[in-house]
Amino acid sequence: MNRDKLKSQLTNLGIHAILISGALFMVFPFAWMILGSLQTFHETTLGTFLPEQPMWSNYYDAIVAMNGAKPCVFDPAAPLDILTREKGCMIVRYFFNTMVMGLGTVLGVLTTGTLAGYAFARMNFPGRETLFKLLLATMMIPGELTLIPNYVFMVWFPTPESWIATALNLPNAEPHNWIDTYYALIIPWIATVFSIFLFRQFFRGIPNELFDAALLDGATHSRFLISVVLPLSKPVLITSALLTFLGSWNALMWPMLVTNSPEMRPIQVGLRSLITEAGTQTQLLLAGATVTIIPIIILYLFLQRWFVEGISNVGIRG
Amino acid sequence: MKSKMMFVLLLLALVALAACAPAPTPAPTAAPPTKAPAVEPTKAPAPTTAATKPPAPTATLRPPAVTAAPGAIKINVWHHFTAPEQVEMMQRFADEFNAKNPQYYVTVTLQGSTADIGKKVNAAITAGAVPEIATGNPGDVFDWNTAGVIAPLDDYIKDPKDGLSADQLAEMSMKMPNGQELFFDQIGGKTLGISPGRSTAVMYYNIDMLKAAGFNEPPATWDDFDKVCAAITKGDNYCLAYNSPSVETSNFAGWVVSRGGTYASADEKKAVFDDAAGVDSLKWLKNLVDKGYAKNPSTTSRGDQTDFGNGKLAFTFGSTAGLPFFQDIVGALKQPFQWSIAPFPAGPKGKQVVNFFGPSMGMFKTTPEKQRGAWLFIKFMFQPQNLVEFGLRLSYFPATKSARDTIAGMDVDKVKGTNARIATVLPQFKKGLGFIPMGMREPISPAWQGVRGIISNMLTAVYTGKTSPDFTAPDPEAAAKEGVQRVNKQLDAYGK
Repeated sequence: MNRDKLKSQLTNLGIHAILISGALFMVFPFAWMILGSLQTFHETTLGTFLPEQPMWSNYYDAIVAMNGAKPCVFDPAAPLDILTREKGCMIVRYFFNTMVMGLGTVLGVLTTGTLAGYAFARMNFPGRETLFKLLLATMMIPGELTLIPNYVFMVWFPTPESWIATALNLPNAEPHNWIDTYYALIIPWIATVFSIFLFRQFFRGIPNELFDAALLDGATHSRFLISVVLPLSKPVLITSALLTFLGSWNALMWPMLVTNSPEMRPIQVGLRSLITEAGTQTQLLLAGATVTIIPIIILYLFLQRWFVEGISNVGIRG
Repeated sequence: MKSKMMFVLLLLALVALAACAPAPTPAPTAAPPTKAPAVEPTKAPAPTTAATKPPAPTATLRPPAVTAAPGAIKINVWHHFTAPEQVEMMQRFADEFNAKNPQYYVTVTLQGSTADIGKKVNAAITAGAVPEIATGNPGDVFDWNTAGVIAPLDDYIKDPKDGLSADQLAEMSMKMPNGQELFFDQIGGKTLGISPGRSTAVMYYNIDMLKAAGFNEPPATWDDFDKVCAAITKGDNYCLAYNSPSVETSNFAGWVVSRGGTYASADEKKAVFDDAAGVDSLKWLKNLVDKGYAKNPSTTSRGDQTDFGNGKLAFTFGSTAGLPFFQDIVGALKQPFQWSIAPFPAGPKGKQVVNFFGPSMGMFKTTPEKQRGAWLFIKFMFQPQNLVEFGLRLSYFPATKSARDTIAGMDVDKVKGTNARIATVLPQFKKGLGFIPMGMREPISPAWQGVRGIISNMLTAVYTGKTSPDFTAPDPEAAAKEGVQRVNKQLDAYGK
């Protein structure tokens, strides 16, 4: 018995040692980033881990640098001025743009993912499996390959309002393409194969009996989807929303490509303004990076239970 | 839930504190500058030791001050001048130009690094939506020209009404040993790009370390360089950092030319650095490694800058655009040391050189009206006071002699008003201005951009003494031959 207990304790110890090592391994880059954000430039060049004296001013300097070297101003009499280049704080504008981009994309992905996922999981139509496989196959195409064709579409499409104004011959109407608009930041990403796959897998797990019962009660597909499926799908909705939001939050190349003015750029592009051709003030970049991950940590903190549940339910492992 | 809320509140409080609090004054980390010369010497100004904290940029990021007049022709300028004071400078140029030329409306937008602009322009070429002007490396401009979208500038430059004056052209003309003009990117007799300013690769050196070893001047010959290395290499101190930007393609070109060798054939279609000077350059590198004078730096990213800044490394080869960053590191030391820059030493058959690079502006084919407006904006940037500002805000040497002379005559206080960071390295920057007559330029065609990796592999094989699938000859003589062979194969294949 004692021997068994010892064996079990040793096994537990081994498992914990592995898990703790894994956790430390995962935490290390974040710890390095936060500690680096508190160092002097000199300390970052030495590869020092702990700062001799925490430089909290780096956070202020990074925010000021992103604001074109002027301190941020908040005027309670004109709160929206904080979003302007002239009177406000560009980091707030970058966060605002990222939120608009993220929330818009999430809304789109949940809508298209739910509808397409439901169709692939529950509705019978000719070529369903082939179409789904074709859709999955597009996941194999690297994003870089679609960058330029997508950009071309952004240049070709007029914005709806400019198109209507031109069609109605309104004064000063001129066609304006999607470049440097929220359309370009949101629309190309509102349907993703991964989300459709996620929803399809989850919806397939919902018992057929529920559908049969709803059918007997006279429910249509849309009624069944809204009244039965969606209330049961909180984990997959949250997982998909969180993953999409994360993707939007971290997007760099696409926003860089389709935006021109600082007013339209999201946080990751704003962060890039701390990197110059001749060199980088590493401590400021790390301080800026630390600030940018705070909202994501907060979001994850509140949603982690559903996130883990959603991932487990659809059988995806990281 | 309560603990989560506390955590969130703590984070938010931290951000609010950081965003709104006035900048705290950090505790001094270094001695105040004591060795900075009060008066600028006339020939080779002594370097400064330095401030404790890099000065913050003084400019502001602001929206355009001038709005477009009805019917104004819109000119888009994409640039990569990322620092806040550089963004501000470009916006001010646009505002002033727009105020004086209401028939045009220039919009300047920062588009990230040269690599970012390269990607964006390539996408825009495919979409048929190029800007009117973009900045980039000369090789980028040539690449865009290969795609058929660059408008040559010659007719605009020579235009009797809107062109550059004869005096201005004479001031800008600076022929390099390989026949290239320094501030014009020309190919096949056409001017495709123009540069308001260039930076150059130079030799950074630690004055105090050299003095302690009995050398009052930086080495002017490669033999002297070796002697200094022998004297200073002891303990942590060493002479050259390999596996760092010090040992890379552009610096190798400088090592070859300074030894009297030839890097590329006259038509720039072939590499010829397997001559005696090229082999000697590689032998010199191997010799430094074998004797322990050259070492792997203590950090992987910009390790030469780190070790030099921390007083361990006597020499490093790098761009003058990095001057403020060296000062940031040295200035933060508890005991800052004196440092300066010098041209590359010379071999018995060569002469001291510096190797120029830096940004260019390309004008895209659009409509005659837009192209005229774009050219007028480029010309506007070449006004004397604008060139001075461009030079000071980017640590670049401006394109005209009068602008360089203006900077040479400025004192620290005056420079501080334009760019406080350059003010901390003004003596070194001014010293660099004197190197311009020693200038050389590598081949800048796109084909040569593509072979830089091969030359880098050659240098790695020599300093590691190891073969790899990318390079098989670590011996200097064989490496030079293999390098030339591989480079020429790729140059021949380019565009086929």
